[in-house]
Amino acid sequence: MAFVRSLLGAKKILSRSTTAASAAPKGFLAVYVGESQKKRYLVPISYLNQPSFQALLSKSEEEFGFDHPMGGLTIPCPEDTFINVTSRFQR
Amino acid sequence: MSGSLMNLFSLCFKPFGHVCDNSEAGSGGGGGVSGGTGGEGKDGLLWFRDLGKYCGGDFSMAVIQANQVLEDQSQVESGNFGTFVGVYDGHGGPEAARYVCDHLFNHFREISAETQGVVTRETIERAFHATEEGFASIVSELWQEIPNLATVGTCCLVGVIYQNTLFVASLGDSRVVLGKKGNCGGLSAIQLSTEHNANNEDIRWELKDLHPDDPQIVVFRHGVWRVKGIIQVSRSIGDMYMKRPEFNKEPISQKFRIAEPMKRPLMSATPTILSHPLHPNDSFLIFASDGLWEHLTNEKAVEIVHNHPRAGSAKRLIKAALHEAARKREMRYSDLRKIDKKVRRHFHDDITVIVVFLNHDLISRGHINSTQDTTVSIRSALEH
Repeated sequence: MAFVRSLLGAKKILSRSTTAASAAPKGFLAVYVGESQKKRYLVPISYLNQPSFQALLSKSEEEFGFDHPMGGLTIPCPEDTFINVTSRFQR
Repeated sequence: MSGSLMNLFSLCFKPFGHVCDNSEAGSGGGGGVSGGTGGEGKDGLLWFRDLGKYCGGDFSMAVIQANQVLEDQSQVESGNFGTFVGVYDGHGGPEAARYVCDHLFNHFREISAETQGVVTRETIERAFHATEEGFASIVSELWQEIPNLATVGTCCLVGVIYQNTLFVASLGDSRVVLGKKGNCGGLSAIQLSTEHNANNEDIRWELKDLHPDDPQIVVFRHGVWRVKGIIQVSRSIGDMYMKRPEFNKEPISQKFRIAEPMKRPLMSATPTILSHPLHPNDSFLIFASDGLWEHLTNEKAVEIVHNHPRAGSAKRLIKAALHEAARKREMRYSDLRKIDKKVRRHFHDDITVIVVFLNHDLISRGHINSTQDTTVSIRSALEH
């Protein structure tokens, strides 16, 4: 996993184990990813324009409606699915 | 193509509600108020009317869109009959809210004319009933062409100021809050509307009392209580799939279907109506769809209106709500503003706000104003 993450470019996607919600830097927002255990990622706002990212949000809409139980956007898919989708945005 | 279909399409293609403001600039009273109307404008997904005049004083109005198709509608109507304020928060599509905005006030005027303009609870209740029946007949006539109209509904929040009484009628979970001056100089927030949302325990009890034979009348699903596990509000105009068995069957989507035969309507279109004698300490009213109250407390909203100039009050409340929405989603407000509609719905709902300032001199002088025949008729004007 660490090897895969380094390929993604850590500066683009930041993963934090800390549960405390810190303010996102300008141009980024928090996304909580995972089927049961949720992991926090900071992603660029521009990802919201990507159809495949919007498809992930639609999955969230099916499960949670428009409420997001973590406060930040919550996407109930496996982490590696999320990483697969978002890695394509950076090539 | 049936007439009703054309009627519905004409609703959909109406680009703007009509805006007509004949109130006289500089008319007497209203100390400290500049004459005429404050700016009306648009800024991306936001529409606003910063300050307008109605027969009882000033009002401020604003709407921000989040859904792909705006589901909120609103209006302010004022004249020698009194004042009518409406906020209609639709769900499942825009048609019901548009229909209500087109018809409810007209029914109200027709029905009050039968009693020489006198307004009572019955006037308002009958206007709601006529509007519900009108929408139901459209759903029925278009069932073959557009069956999904049966799954469209709208919350309704109406305020009527008639002489020295404020009537508040509500269906669903929009809210009106009164800012009232205290004797010690402070301002308190008094909620004047009832909210028909299954997450309120008293509403769950009401539903269980009405449906004692149905253990599944309220179901906890996706983190919230819902009527039959489907919809959070228990009262609305529309939502015929929850009121008439002939509209809860194929071809509407499975997610709206109810397994057992419907013995009685599961949702109601009968509004809760409160009448509030206006008091000189009553300062202003904040009417808003639930998209605002999801992010601001009653007290915070009242404080914002009280501590800032009147012009732009409604817009300011929306901005405060968006700041709070951005904080919850762990992002910057400036970034939230850049998000387009549809995706925007994951951050906040459509929000409508109407702030009505109460000038008691003007309100009590209503009978004198009648000779001037001033009329205000304004609807929110975001493109559909």
